[in-house]
Amino acid sequence: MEQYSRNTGILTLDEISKINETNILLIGVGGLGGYIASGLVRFGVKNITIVDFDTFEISNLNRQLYATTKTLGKSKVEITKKRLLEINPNLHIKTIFIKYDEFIDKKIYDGIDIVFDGVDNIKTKLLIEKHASFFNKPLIHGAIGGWYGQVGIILPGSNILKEIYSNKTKGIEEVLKSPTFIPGIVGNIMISEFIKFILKKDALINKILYIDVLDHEYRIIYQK
Amino acid sequence: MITVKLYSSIRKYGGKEIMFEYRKGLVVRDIIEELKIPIKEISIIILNHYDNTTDKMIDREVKESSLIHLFPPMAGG
Repeated sequence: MEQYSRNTGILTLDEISKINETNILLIGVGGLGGYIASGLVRFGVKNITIVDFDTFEISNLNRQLYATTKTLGKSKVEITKKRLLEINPNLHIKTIFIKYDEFIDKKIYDGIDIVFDGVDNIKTKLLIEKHASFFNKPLIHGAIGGWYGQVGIILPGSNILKEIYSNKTKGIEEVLKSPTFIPGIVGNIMISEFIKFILKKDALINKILYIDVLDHEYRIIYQK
Repeated sequence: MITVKLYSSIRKYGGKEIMFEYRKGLVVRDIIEELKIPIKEISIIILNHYDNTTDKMIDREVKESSLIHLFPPMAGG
C-alpha cells in the first residue's frame, strides 16, 4: 500500500479498494490516453483494457507520455502496457491493437465499469458515446485543441456528444493542433473527475467543462 | 447593448468580447452573421446562462443587455 500512500490524504482505505476494483476501458492512448493510463494506474486502478490501432510516430514526441525515440514505430497499446507494468507489476492490462469502429467486438464492454474517451476525432467519439450508452456505461469524455480543452462525464442515454458535435466533422484541433502541455492538463482533469465520480462527490455529471489555459477561463458550457 | 463573448478559435473573428447594438426583433443568428462568424464553426451557444447547441439557439430572440457566449467544437485527443 505504500505505493499509494500519498493518495491517502484525500481518500480512505475503503475508497482506495473501490478504485482498485474498478474496471476501465480506455479507448485511445495517444496524447490524452497516455496521461489517463498513467493517472489511473498511479491512483490504484488495476484492471484496464486499452484499445488503439496506432504506432508511435515522430510527431507524437512533443506530447505523448510514452512516445520516445525508442518507441517510434511500436504499438501504442503494447508500449503503454509495458510502461504501466513498470509502475505496478500487479496490474491486469488487456491490450486491443485495433481501430475502434462500428465493427469493434462489443465483448470489450463486458465487465467494464467506466469508459474513457481518449480518441482524437468526432466520428469515433460519437461511436464510443453510442456504444457506452448502449451497454449502460458512464463515459469520461475529454477533448483538446491548442490552449483549450473540455471534460465531462456522460451518463448513458444523455447523448451529449451527439448534440454538441451535431453536423460537425472537425474541431479546433485541426488548426490549433496539440501543444506539449494540453494533454497532461486535460487528461489529469479527466482522472480527478473519474475519482470524484467513483467516490460520489460532485463531479461533472452530464456537464461539459471548458478549459482555457491561455486566459485561465474555466466554465461549464453545456449541461443536461 | 448586447455583450458577445468569443472563445478559443472563434476569437479570430473579434477578440474576446464584442459589444453589439441592440435592436428590436434581433435573434442570435443576426448577431453571428453580422460579426461574420461562420455558423458551422460554433458548437455551443450560451444566452443569458441558458446553454444549448447552435441549432437550438440560433433563432432565439435576444433581449437588450443580453450576454451571449460562443464556443467552437473541440475533438483532439
